Amino acid sequence: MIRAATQEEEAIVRESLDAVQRGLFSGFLSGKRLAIVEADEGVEPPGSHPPAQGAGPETQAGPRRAVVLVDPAVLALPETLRQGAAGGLQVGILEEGFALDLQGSVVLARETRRQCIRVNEKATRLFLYGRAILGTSILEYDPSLRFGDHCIVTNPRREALGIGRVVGSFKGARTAVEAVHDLGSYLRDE
Amino acid sequence: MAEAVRMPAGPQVREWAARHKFSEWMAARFIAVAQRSGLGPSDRLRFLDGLRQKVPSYVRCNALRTTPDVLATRLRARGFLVQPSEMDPAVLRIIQAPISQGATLEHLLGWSSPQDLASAAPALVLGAVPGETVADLAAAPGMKTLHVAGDMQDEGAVVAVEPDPRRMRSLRMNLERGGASCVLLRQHGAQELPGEGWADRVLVDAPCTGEGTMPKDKTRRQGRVEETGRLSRVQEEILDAADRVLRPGGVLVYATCTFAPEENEVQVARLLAQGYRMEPVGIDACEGVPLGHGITEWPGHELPAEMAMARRFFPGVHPTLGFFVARLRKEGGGSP
Repeated sequence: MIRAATQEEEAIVRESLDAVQRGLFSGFLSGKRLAIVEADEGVEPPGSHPPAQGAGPETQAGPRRAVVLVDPAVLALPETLRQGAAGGLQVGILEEGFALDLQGSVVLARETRRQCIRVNEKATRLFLYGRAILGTSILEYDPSLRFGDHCIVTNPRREALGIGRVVGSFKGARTAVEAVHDLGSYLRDE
Repeated sequence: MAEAVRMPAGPQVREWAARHKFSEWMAARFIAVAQRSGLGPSDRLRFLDGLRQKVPSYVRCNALRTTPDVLATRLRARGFLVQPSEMDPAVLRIIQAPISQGATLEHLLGWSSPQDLASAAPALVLGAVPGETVADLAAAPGMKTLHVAGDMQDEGAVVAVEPDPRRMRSLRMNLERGGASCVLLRQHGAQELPGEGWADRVLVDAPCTGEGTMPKDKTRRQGRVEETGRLSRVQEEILDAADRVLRPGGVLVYATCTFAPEENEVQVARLLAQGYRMEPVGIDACEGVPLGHGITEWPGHELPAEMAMARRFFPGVHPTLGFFVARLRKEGGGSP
């Protein structure tokens, strides 16, 4: 079933994004509506194309709900069509908290440089194979990022490549960011 | 249901079929279709030879992510030699490739996807615009769905249907990679789609015997004649569903990648008998070469003269796989 997000669900996503940067939520939506895809008979349940593991605040146990951006016209379709359906652009998962997904990182990187790191071309190629990023490969980073934080990895042109996790210093030749979920999964998961 | 008509094979066709390991009955049918589609003798031979030759590779630019110019510039910077096609400038012909297009960052970013030039025709012919509700039956792997979403500028609703779970997974991944937010996905056969008259346009790129894909799939050279009958039943069921969900005055585009008239013109004739009328497809040539027209005469079937409005792509004559496309309008209602 695909349905409009409730006020409470929307508030969770809004708070999560506004914690990154105030006012980010409206840019993130960009004229689309927030919707939820719940596991239902019919289309495979959300998460079958796995989102970033732990990419965001830790969550408590609860039903997983995929957060998607949809055009308002999709939510205006009759319920008989939306029942048993999936769709929209999946941007994260809701399980008491909001965890950003691969395409969510792409959307976010268009709106902010917060929580982003920019890496060189060599690191871009390696990251897309799921490899870690060395400190020496990082061209630019959000100084508020801390050890253990998730970050959005972008290439020199600031195009989002996926989600990483900070595991070391951003300076020096050691591993700084490990890959969590990268665009290369579209080839590996085919 | 329409069973495949057997056509007589002359000595030249029999010799050609034996030499190139094609079914004799299939080769005879191909010549008969090509002739009735308006291809002259030399083009018919080019067509037969085209079934054994590699067709050019193409990628289609995803309008939801970037423009053809930007995509071409990026690919050229990677060492690709690409050229926009005349028929659809969003489709770039790959003349030279240092690596597979699928291995590029641009593919992973959702900027492009491989798609044969003829495969772009159905969505072009459909002509969806922003704000509409479109049904895409048998949608996987999603290139045409993405094309439709791009034409709609991601505004409106595209209801995409696919019964096979593995193909649904490909469809989801391609739509996600492409950044589409206006698509609703339903995993079942078209016949199970609920409701009536809610779609402004319907696209049916029907499951078929796939004869037009022979340039890349040699196994189809020895096709089984009974497959045409079986698949024409499937096509009828999908078209019945298309008719049910399409509103009066709405547009239906029917396409296949096969040459069999039983799966093409015969199916369209059934719709015409229900009150649909044909409309010009709007594409008359591919890269400067006139397309074949829909055939108006086939043994055992009455095909109206307006069937000539449909269009056919022939490998070897056109730099593409084989395709059939027809555009129809349902009677009644206002135009979308």
